[in-house]
Amino acid sequence: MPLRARHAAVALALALGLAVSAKAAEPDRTILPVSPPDFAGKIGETYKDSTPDWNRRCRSRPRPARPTS
Amino acid sequence: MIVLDDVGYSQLGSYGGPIDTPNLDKLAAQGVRYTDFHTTALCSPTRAALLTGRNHPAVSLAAITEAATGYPGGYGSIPKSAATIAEVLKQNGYNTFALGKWHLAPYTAYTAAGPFDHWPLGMGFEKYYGFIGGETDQWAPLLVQDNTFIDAPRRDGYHLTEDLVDHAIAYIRDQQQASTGRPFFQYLALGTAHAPLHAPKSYVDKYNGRFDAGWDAAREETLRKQKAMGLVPADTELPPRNPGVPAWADLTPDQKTVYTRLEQVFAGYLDHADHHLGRLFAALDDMKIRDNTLIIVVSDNGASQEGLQNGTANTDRYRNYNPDSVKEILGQLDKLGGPQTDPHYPMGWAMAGNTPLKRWKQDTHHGGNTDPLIISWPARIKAQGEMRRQYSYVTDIVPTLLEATGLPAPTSVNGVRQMPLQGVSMAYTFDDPNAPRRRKAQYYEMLGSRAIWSDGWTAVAWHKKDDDWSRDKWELYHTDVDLSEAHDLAAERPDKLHALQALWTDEAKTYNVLPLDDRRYERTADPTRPIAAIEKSAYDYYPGTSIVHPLAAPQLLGREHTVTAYATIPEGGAEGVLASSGGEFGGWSLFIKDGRLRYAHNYLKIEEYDVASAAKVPSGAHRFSVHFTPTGKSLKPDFFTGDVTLSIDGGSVGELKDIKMAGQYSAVTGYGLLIGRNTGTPVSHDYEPPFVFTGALDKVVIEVAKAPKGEVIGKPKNDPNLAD
Repeated sequence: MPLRARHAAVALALALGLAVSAKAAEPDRTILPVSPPDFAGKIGETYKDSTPDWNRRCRSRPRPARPTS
Repeated sequence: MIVLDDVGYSQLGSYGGPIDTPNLDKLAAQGVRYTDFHTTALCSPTRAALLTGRNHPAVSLAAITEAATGYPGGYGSIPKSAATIAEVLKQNGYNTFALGKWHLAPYTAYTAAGPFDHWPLGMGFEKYYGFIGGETDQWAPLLVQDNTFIDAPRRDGYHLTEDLVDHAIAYIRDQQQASTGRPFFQYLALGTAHAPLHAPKSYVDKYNGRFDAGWDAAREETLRKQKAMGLVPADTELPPRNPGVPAWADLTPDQKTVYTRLEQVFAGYLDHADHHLGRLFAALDDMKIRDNTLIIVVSDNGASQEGLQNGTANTDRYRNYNPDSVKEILGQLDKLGGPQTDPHYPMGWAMAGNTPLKRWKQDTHHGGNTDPLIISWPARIKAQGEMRRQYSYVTDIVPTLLEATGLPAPTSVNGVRQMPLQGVSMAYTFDDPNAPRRRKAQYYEMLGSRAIWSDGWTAVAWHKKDDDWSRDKWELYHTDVDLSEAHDLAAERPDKLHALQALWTDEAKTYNVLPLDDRRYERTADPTRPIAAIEKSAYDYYPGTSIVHPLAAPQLLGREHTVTAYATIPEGGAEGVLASSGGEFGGWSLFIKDGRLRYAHNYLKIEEYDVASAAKVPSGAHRFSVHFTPTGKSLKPDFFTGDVTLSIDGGSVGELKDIKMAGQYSAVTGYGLLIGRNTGTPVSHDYEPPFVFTGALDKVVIEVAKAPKGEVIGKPKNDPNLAD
């Protein structure tokens, strides 16, 4: 595959990936209360070998309102 | 259910303590008290476990809400899969009331806009009157009613405990006179006896001479009484003094004077609470509902060592690594416990308050997690003044209440599947003091320290902050016969120790305990943490609005900022506070008095700065502002320095140079941001609160720079009086 096409494929894959992850981050709002997302960090023995994920804690924030026009 | 705060194992009279608690003692005489009851060793975690019946990290309360982390065990926000007992009872027809301390809302929810789903009304209670967070000024509390911050009542002699009990009685009377026939559940969480230790002077003076023999003698006398009343076995040994506590005999006369008075203040505070709880019990008698009312009295953790070696007259000082000296406290001796002080007693008295146990609040040794528990229910529990020795844990209370009320644990609440309860009902102990215990095991973890109890044995490892956990020394006790953890058997029984360590690991994995985390104030400096308000460069505030909690207000400490009040001065002038934040123990206030614009800055009551315009403010519409420019930062003590410019309509009318601004006041105790008034305690004693502004105030705009890079709140090491 030519380098340029390979870059385009990578870009497309990244875009798709972002779109998929963005979609995955949006909870199902037809069932309330909204379920918290799965923990996406890493838990080790101590905080020094772990990665936090505050997403679940922040889930109660509403989705930004969309323009109505 | 009555929750006492920071009351240790041996501070009530019915547990051998030296403080007069006749009403709680009478309650114990009308029921049973538990000799081997345990909590998590910290406030929010115990309360979460108490109300949900699940282990604290299983419901995301590994530590206090303000110390939340980005891990499931530490989010500081109880999941909806763990409904509180209030929610369960409410949906089964009970009226539900909460009063007092509510340290179960995420720190990001301390705002006038909530979110309210973790405030009491969002957690199963129908009414609420109290305070959100860990502590509040008992003379001038930062209050909440239902879902609204309200100004502190202003009347001579006001004390929060009395106010809470008044409301507690009124809630029940309202409910009873409605004559619906419905039962009720009331959760009354007093501020007593958490700092600030605030008590009427008559209660403090009552204890003149009671503690003069010191904490070593007090421990011995308490243990003698505990043995005499059969609370502990006759062969119970007193362990050595806790680390950092000197022998009373080695103290200077000034130290003895200060430490004794601070213990008197604590005693007066608890005695005063007991008096008002007596009013509540009498009200139940008067309504003729006492016999069939199940009353539970519990504390949340061991007595608190947070007053460090000297104690303090201002807890915000040690939070800023600038603790007051004995000499400084000595100068305020007669004021201790009053509205102009924010005291805590020294750690030696906490040790005595946990007799005969080792260590204190925050620790997983028995001194941290063993607490008084009294249960009285005359219509059902026939025992009068008996003791129950079965090991029990705070998660056992909810199963006990469900069994007592004949209700099942719900599998689904509001459409959310519920996690199983993690405690064991204690109702089996009500009638049979010798019933074999039903508890098999319980793990402990608090701020890095670990422990596990199983079948009468306890393995425990105290953790020194910042040390590698692999270096923690594990101890082993046969606590069935050695409640005071006096004989470490780790070397003799390595097999037992290893088995318990393995069990701890299993339990830790089951209940979200990992990762181990010993960070304290560093957690609040984590830039990835969510914050209550969206970060903006300017915030608008309006008069007539409620107080803005310190954790939801713009974070001004050490940051360049401008506070601008847009106001109209009528002909003939105006006076009052345009904006204020904090109070007696630290804060700032922009106000007009005697016709002049003024800015007062109170640095932890150590230094008070004041600048005033030379000319009187003119009538008409104006911009009154104060600008702070940071110039430096100190870590020990923790403060910022900066310059202040006071302006009217953009023109400078006064300056202050090199003032000190606290590094982290107001995080827990401080009063919040107020527009057009200074309720609570005054930032400046040049006016009387609330000093409401008499002109026309349109709004106040606070412009604030982003946090300076490298702003890290750190703790200097190797100072024993600056321990976390």
